[in-house]
Amino acid sequence: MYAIETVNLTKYYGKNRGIIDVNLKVKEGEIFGFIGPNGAGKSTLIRTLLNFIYPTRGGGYILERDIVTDSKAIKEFTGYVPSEIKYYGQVFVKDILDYAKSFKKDSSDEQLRKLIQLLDIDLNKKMAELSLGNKKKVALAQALLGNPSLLILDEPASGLDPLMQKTLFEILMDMKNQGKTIFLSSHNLVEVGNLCDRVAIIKDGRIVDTIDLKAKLSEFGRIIELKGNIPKELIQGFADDIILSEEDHYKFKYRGDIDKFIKAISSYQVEDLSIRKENLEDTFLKYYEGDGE
Amino acid sequence: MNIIKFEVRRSIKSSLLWALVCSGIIIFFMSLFPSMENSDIQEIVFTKLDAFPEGLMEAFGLDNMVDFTNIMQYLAYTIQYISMAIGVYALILGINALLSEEVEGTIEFLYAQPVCRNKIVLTKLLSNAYLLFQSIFIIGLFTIAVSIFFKPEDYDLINLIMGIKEVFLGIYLVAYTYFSIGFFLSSILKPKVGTTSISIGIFFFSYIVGVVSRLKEELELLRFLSPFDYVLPMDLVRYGWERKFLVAAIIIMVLTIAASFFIYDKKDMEI
Repeated sequence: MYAIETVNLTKYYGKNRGIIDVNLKVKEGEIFGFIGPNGAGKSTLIRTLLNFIYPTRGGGYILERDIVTDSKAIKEFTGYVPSEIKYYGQVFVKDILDYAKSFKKDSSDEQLRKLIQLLDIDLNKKMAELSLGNKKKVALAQALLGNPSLLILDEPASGLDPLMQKTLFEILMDMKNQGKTIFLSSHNLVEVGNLCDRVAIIKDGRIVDTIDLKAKLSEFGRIIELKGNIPKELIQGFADDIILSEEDHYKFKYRGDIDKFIKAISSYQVEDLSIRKENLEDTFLKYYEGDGE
Repeated sequence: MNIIKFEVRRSIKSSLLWALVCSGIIIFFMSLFPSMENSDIQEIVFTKLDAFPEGLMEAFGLDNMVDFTNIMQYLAYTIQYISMAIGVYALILGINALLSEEVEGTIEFLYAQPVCRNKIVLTKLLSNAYLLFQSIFIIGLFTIAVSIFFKPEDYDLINLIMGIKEVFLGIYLVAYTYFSIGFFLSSILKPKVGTTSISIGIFFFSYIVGVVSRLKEELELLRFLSPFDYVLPMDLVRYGWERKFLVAAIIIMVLTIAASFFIYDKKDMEI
């Protein structure tokens, strides 16, 4: 059983593209990242999954329940944190959390008290008086009420201070260890790289790649950038993936023996050389920059 | 029930404010009643109004001139204007009922909870209908209190209270008709529209249509487009209920509310 499964899920807003033929399979118990440039369709996918908007065609399931017809049942076991928190501005935080608790069958005063303590929430302020980070904490608390099996988070760490980000990541890892599923959309590639088991990349409304991060990490080599009077054929011979190739200026991915490469270029005139380990950002950025398809 | 409680708590202040302002206006007008009763104003008004053309008198409901020395007629005449304010308020409540959640973006909180769309519609309908009921009820209580205070000694108390009750039943009918129209609009309008200006626009459009409908007999059918004219307090005091408008109001309420459930269940929410 998949925690989230979509089948050719498509949403158009009139003639405008939202998402097109999105096919996702998120396994139970994994942290699944969802990244893409602004306007790629991340929020559209989340809103379709939560039935804020209806699919134009295709469909989806959350823990085997239909996202359109079983939306209420889905929300019994799903917590959601939106990217922008627009909760009732003139209502006190305490009342918002009590209101959220009143919807969740499995929530309790004890659980709410623990969450308030863990997230260091000030109950005696109105929502409109809170900073973005503090609003986010309220949103997290209400999403975590009732022990959800699935958390859907849209930019969960934005606005949180580093200490609170750490707390959030600990909460998410703890949920994962309990077998719960987390689906998070983010721009923070480091956050995605550190947390997620798999990542889907969306661009122009379509999923362009799904990456297993553990497998990907084992494939990582080095990113070499050099300027100098070196024959192009030599670089082509070493490079696993050429990122940049201009006159006397090369940037490429190399997974081989670095000693062998250094020796090979030692007889040429080198103006500049930088070698660093490849990281997830290198993988993700190519999709943001336009050559990912 | 939790949604209803939350909604009522959130909006009760503005609802009470409306009720108190309207009550204040009624108290002010009723405080003038003793001077109306004891002066020759009635005669002066009649003399002045005789100069107006008949059509104009009909248009403004002045053809059957109010007897300002009769507390019930004076009250009904005064309440006619309060009824307009309540009509606008009912429209605002109705239009905001569903739409405000999208305008403010709070729907992202509410609909992320385990609640179905029909329940959102039902609870919004009930909570706002309750707020409207409560506002009119408070205005009604103030009206009874102030009328008892200024009542001529020879006017029967029971008759007065029963008369006010009847007038307020009429106001309820008009208010809930406008409210249901607003509620329907709430399910179809985009969040970017200005709800207050739309409410005022719709009310006064219907009011003017009502005025036009009284200009000529052939235009009387237009009165169906003006819920305000279904139960004019003065007409109610003099002639009682008109069944055709009562039926029209009920049909409007049933159709608009049923349509609201249907549309809201199918629509894409705008956040």
